Amino acid sequence: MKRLAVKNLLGRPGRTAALFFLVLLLSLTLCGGGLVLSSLRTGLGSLENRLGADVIVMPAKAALKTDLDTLFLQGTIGPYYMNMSTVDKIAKTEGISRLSTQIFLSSMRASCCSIPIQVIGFDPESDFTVSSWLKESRQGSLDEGRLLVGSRVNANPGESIKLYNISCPVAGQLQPTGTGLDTAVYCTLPTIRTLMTAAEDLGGYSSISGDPSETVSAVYIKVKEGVDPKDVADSINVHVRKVKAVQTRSVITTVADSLSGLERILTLLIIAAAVLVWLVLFAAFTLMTGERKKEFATLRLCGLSRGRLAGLVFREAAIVSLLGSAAGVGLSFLLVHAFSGALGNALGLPFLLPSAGTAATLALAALFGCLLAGPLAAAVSARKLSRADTGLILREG
Amino acid sequence: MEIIAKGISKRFFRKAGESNYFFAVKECDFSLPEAAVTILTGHSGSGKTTLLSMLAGLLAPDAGLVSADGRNLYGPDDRENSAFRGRHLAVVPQGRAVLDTLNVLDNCLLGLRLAGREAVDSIAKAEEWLDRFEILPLRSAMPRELSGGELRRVMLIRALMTEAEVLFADEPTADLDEENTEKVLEALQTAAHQQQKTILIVTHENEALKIADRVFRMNKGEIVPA
Amino acid sequence: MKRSHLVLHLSTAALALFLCIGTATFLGPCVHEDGSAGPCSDAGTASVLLSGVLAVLALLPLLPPVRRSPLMSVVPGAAGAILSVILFLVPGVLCRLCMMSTMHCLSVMQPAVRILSAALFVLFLASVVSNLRRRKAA
Repeated sequence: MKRLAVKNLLGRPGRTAALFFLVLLLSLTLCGGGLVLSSLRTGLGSLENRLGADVIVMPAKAALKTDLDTLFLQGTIGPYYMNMSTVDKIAKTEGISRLSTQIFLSSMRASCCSIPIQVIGFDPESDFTVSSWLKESRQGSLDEGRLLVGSRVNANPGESIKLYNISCPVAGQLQPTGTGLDTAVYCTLPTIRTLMTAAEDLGGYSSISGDPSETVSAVYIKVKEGVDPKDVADSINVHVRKVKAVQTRSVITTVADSLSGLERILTLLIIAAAVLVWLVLFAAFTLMTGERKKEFATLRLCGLSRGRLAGLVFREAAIVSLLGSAAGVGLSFLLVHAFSGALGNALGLPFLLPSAGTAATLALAALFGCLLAGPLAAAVSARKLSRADTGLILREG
Repeated sequence: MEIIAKGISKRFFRKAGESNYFFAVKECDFSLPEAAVTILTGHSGSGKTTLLSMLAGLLAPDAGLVSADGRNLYGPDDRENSAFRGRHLAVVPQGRAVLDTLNVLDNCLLGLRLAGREAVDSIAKAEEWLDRFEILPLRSAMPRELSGGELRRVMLIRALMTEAEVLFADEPTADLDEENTEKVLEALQTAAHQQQKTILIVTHENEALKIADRVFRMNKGEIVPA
Repeated sequence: MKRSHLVLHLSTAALALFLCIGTATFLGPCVHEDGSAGPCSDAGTASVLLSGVLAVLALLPLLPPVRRSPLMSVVPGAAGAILSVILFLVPGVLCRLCMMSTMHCLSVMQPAVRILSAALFVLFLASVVSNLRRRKAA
């Protein structure tokens, strides 16, 4: 019987290919859609982990020109700076537990640099946002003049990136976050200040006013336990001039809101596509029933019971479903993995492929769903077929 | 094995005159004795094929009973009925009844394989039959490459291979030339007389009458003496 | 020629042609805002040329002089399989790409070329196998 099912499938390559393609489409929709949704969720989780700080303070000018909600999806805030004296004022605000500064510098795509890139300088002593991530990525110490690159920067350790005519060796590459942080490079404050000086010399950053060693781009704040970050942000906004303090919670909430909207649409689309494909599969099996009436009557007259006949139809459907869904799952992993960068860019949301465990669960769920879908689509026609009177079918000629 | 039909009827929907139905077979009593060739003749549409299908366990009668050695062919358990049919009854239907996805040899062995009775020498036996009916070179051919007469011989070999005690053949010599008609009839006669098989042949052709032990005629759903 | 052979060669040619047109247009290398070509332009040009050659190679066995000789019809398939491997290596290995994974060349062109060239390799290999079988049968 198993051999007969296989021979039936091989003997009708066109029909088998059509069914295989339909199941593949179903599994591609389910698994691929699931992977995209899961990657978006993982991306959001990663964003939450990476932001680390409760409040971020930046120059008021930057707040005016930048969409703060997408700040960390895009990378950094651009060429806006504040003086260290402002940082001192911020530090005096009540309720602050830890405070760290960062400097952002955007390189230009011109003769000065091998890539257009965001450079983030941080102070390893006081930092509590980047350092933990660096530890996770198991990178070595970040000496002066060396860079750590985000996962989406196409440079390997040992290579060098030229920024403002300064060749900076790459010390290591960080784990992906699915956010704009992946396209940045990281260095210590002395390194970025050297780069800023070089940028000024090349006329790249006219907006840097004063001594680069007295300049920062943003201040990251961790509030004391029991203190509401909103109170700290409000206090800074009231007492310190020319700065804007924002709660990171609001950034995440906005991203989460747009994600849930997209998630709803995507889920609906996946369900609609899956139902549509299943209906086509059902119609294909029903049409096939009429076409194979004579074949089944032959098997009945050779002594095959209704149950065994239905079993044969199920077996054929199961074989095609297994192969089709496995191919669909494989293809969806291949496509989503290969085009994850393009997908993240297109969706404009943090996009990070899920862990191996989650991916395996998704693959198994899609495989199981499609394995059921084929035989389920064939069930009605199998029952109808097995009920038909063999004598009547043969009498029809 | 003896087949006995008692008071079997079969009607089909067909709007003609006052009635919505017509009787293809009407309250028919009929039996097929062991080791004999029974031939059923009659005009087209007289109900021969319907009667054969009912006797072969392929078409449930609307009324009456069909039994083989006292066993009801239309019992409540389809699995048992089918297994019995596969083991004891073989049918060569009038139309094309082969699997297009199997080659000639596999089609010949289909009945045996489905009944789980394929033996070591089954292939050799099938080839012997193929040779006897002059289609051995076609053993690997697919059914779509065969003529009507060749297909009919394949269906007959499939029926003979099962070694069932009862063999039903609906127009077994249609599409065959004189020489092959002779061979087929001889094989059926040998099966009846030497292997003690019960054989029912439905035919229009007078040629078949010469191997008959009993001849019946059907007219408008009723059996009349030939 | 059997229908399956025809379908195989035509689908290979169609896929190669799609890749050729694709890498020349929407699957192509990065173009900067000022219209200048990125460092990945060589990879784009090489991909367009190689996939064009692959399209021609896929169609060659359909020409009567090649079709008639079972041995001759194996050659374009074998050459196609080798060129597909080379095409696979073009973006990122044989020709350099931009440095940011978010750039078009790395996020679109490279995966597209790699997936399609792998598919082309399988199709050309299938063509070689089927032509070898034909040769054996002949």
